[in-house]
Amino acid sequence: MKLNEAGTRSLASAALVTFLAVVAVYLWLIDILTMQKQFGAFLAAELTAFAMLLYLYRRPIHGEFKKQWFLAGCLFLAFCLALTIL
Amino acid sequence: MVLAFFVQGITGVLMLLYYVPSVDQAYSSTLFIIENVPLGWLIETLHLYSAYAMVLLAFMHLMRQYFVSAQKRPRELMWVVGMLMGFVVLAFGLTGYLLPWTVVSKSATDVAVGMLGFLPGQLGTIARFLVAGSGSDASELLRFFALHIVALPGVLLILLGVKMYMFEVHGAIEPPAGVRSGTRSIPWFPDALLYLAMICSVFLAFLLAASILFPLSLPPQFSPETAASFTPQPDWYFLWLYQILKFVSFEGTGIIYALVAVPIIFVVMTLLPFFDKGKERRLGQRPVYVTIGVIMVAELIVLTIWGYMTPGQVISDLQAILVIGGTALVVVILSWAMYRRRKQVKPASSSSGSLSAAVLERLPILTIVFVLLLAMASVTIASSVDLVSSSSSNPLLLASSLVLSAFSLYFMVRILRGLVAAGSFRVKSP
Repeated sequence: MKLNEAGTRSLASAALVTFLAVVAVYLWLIDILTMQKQFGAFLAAELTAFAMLLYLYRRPIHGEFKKQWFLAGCLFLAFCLALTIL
Repeated sequence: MVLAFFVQGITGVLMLLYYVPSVDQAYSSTLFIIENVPLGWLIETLHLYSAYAMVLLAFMHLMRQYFVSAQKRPRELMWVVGMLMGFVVLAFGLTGYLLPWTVVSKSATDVAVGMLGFLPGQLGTIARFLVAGSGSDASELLRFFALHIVALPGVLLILLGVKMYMFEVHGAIEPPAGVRSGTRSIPWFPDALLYLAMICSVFLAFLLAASILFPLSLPPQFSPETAASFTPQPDWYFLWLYQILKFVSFEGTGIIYALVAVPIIFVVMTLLPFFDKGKERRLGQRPVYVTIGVIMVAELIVLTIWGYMTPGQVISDLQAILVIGGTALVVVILSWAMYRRRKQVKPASSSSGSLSAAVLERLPILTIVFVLLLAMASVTIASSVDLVSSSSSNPLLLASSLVLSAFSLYFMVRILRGLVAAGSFRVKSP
C-alpha cells in the first residue's frame, strides 16, 4: 500500500468515512444504560478512525506519509473494536 | 496538556452534579457515581486518567524545554510561568486525591497536612489554616474541594492566558542547532488545526481505551479503624517525595531539612533562567546542564519506583546514599564518556549539526529505552553494593543484580555510541 499515491489515499479515506458513518449511527442507536462499555469502546474507535482520516486528508507537515503510523492506527482501531466484545 | 485540562473540566463538572463535599457523603456519592450513574464509572476514570496525563505531559514538557534551553532570553518569564503552572497541576493532584474520602487518600493527605506544621514560625500555622481550616475533617474536605474546583482552575486559566500571550509575543522557540535551510512555515488553517485535531482525537481515544481496560476501583471508605490497617501512600506523581520523606534522617524533627531542601530545588528550577545566562543552547555544548538534567530525571524515576516498591518502609541513610549517589554516579560517568567520545569523533561535512534522518525517527524510543536502562542500572548497582556490604547477602541475588547492571550499562553504551556515530552531538559547522 502506497499512501503517497492519491488513488490509494482516496480509497482508504472512503473506507474510513464509511466506517465513521456506520459507527456514528450505531452510537446514536445504542442503549447506553445496558451497553456502557461498548459505547466507550466504539467512541474510542470512532475517534481513532477520525484521526486516521485526518492523517490521510491533511498535507503532511513532517515529510511524506508514513505507512507505519497508518498501520499503527489500524491496529489500535482493531484493539478498540476488540474491546467491545471483551 | 491543554486538552487534558479541558477533559478534566468537563468530566469534573459532570461529577459535580452528584458529588457531595461532606465527610458523611463524599465517599457514598463518589461510589454512587461509579455504580449507579449511567457512564459514571467512565467519567470518573476519564477524570483520573486525564489528571495523570496532565501531570506526565507537564513533566515531559518541562524537561523538553530544559534540554532545548527554552528558558534562555527572551523567554525567561515564560519558563517561570510554566513552572508555576506545573505547581498548580501538582496542587490539583493533591487536592483532588482527598475528595473521594477513601482510606488511602485521607491518610496520605493527613501526612501532607501534618508536614505543614513543621514549617518555621507562623508559616506553618498559616499554611495549615489555608488548606485544613480549623483542623476538623469537614473543614479540610471543604477547603480542598473549594481549592480544587474554584481557586486552582482560575489560577491555571490566568497563567495559561499569560503564557499564551507571551507565546504570541516571542513565538515558538527555534531548534538549538538553528533552522534548517528550506524549512517552510505552516499555516494555522487548515494544516496546524487539522494536526491538532488529529492529536486530540488520538489522545481521547487512548484515554477512553485505558479507562475501559482499567476502570477505577475505589478503596474502602476512610475511618480511623480502617486507616490503622492501611499504609498511607500518595498517588504515583508524589511517590518520589514520599520516598525522600521516608529517609531515616528526615524522620521526626529531621523533616524540617526535607521541607527546606525540596522547596529550594523547586525555587532553583523556577529561577533557572537567571542562573543559566549563557547563550549556548546546543546539547553538545552544555555538558554540565545536560548532565544535571539527566540526573534529575533519573533520580525522579528511581525514587518513584523505589517508593512504589517499599511502602511504609523507613530507608536507612546508607541505602539512600547508595541509590541516590549510585544513580548520579552512573549518569556522570556515562555523560563524561559520551562527551569525551564526542570530542574524538570528527565532524562530518554534510550532516554536521543535525541528527541523521534514521536516528531522528528513532530518537523518542531510544530516549525512553535509555532512561529505563538508566533506572535499572542505578537500582541494580545500588542493590549490588548494598548486598556486598550486608552480612547476610544472597549470592544468587547478588549475581543477578550484577548481570542486570552489566546488561543495562552495555546497552546504554551501545545507544550512546550509535547516537555519537550518527552525529547527534556534533558541533554545527559555520
